[in-house]
Amino acid sequence: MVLRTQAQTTPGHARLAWFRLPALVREPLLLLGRVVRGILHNPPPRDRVLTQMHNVGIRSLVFISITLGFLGLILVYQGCVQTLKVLPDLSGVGQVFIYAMWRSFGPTITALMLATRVGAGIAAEIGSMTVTDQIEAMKVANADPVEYILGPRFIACVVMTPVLWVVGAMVGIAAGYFMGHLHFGISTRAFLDLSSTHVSDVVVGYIKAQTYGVVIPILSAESGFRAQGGSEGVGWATTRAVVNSSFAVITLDFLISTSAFLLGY
Amino acid sequence: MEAAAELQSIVKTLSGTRVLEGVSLSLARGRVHALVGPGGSGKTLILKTLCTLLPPDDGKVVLFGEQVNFDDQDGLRHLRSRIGVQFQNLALFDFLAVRDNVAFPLEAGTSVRPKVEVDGLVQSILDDVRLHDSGTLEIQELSGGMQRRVAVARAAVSDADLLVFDDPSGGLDPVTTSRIFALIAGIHASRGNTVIIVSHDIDRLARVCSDFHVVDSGQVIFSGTLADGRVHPDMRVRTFLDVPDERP
Repeated sequence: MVLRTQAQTTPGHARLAWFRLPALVREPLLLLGRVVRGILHNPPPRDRVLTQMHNVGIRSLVFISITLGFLGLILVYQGCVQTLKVLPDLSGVGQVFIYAMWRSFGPTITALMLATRVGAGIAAEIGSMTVTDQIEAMKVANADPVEYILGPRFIACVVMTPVLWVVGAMVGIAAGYFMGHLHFGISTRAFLDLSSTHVSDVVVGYIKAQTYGVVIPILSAESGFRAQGGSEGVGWATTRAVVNSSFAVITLDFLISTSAFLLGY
Repeated sequence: MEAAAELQSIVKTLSGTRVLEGVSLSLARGRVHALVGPGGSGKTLILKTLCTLLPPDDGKVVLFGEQVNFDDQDGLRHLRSRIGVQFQNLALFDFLAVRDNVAFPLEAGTSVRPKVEVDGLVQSILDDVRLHDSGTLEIQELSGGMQRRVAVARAAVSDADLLVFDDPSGGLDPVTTSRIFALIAGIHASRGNTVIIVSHDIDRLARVCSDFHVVDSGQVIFSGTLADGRVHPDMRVRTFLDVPDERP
């Protein structure tokens, strides 16, 4: 329990403990505080941040694009098939689809994919370092493992998740357009009608993507720092990272969507 | 003689098991100490406690005359800057090349050193461990013996006051083992720092170490010279110190 031992010594831990937050929430919040404070006090070198942005962003691009592309194909296909059962008019399918891609499906599916690829990677890497004493070697060398390992990955996820969302949503919309236009004969003008999509929808989508970009590396790293034992411990940490991140993404999707709805957006 | 490090009645429980049962240990300054005992007796945990990596449940840790406060992060950083550690499983950073692994304690710490000075120190210690041409190699490209020498170099590069070596020759051939022990002896001879070595190789420890400490079942059951240990009334001490006619 490397993380807990360190966290218990910080003033933030005492303040959060006072509120009796469950550990499931308290520990990630403490880790978030530590990594943000570390980045502000001692920004990681640019080359390490760029390397992680490449790992998180560029290396996920094809994976995210293919996933959201297929999602676009499936959604438009099902949307058209179901619509045709009650209406002969498919002109509204594109509007609703584009709205959903920007506001909900785009950021959430992108984040779920990132949780499996990037989150699992972060947890496995940190978990492996934890069980092989590399984290302790860093501490003896007076390097803060949270700053050193998590800092660049955190920045990379925060920056690249919204970028991947934009690219993924565009690919998904393009794939959906081809399905609607070529298979169901929806005109380009009708499909790409943006009258149902407002700036607030894009803003809500961005808020989701940005939030996921914060949550995924924190939950994944927290799982990694908790790894114990050997390879089994690393496997457990990786599984926990994916499960927790995915659960958090779905929960936050609901909370942000509900909040936006209640606020009239 | 003044102690560089002291453990006073250290108690530690991990996962419900009492792993250190009131360990008391004093490491005289400027000497080379051996910590021996059977596997699972708590040697590595004692070393981690000495390195401030394992806060005890009870008891005191005194380093360089100062009682360790495990809640004081700044104090821990200051103490750790005076300790060099070679971990049992080496704990080399596999995402860094050999040179960067060895330079890590110099570059990642709070005190900033000029790159020229760091490069000089790294090259010097790599020469000492006979890895002068290996600075650019990745850790995965090295043999087990070379990795162990890198770990020894990383522990010794910062000229620490307390050097901790946890099984520096584990799994190595006799020639490489002799070289590593000679290297540690050379480092101590040139710097006069306090050294503690965990190893099962009593013959080689006898050539390097002046003080022996025997651990069994989470307790230090003997501290003294090898000669005293070999005539100690406790059979376990004599056994661990490898008295030839009493080997199990």
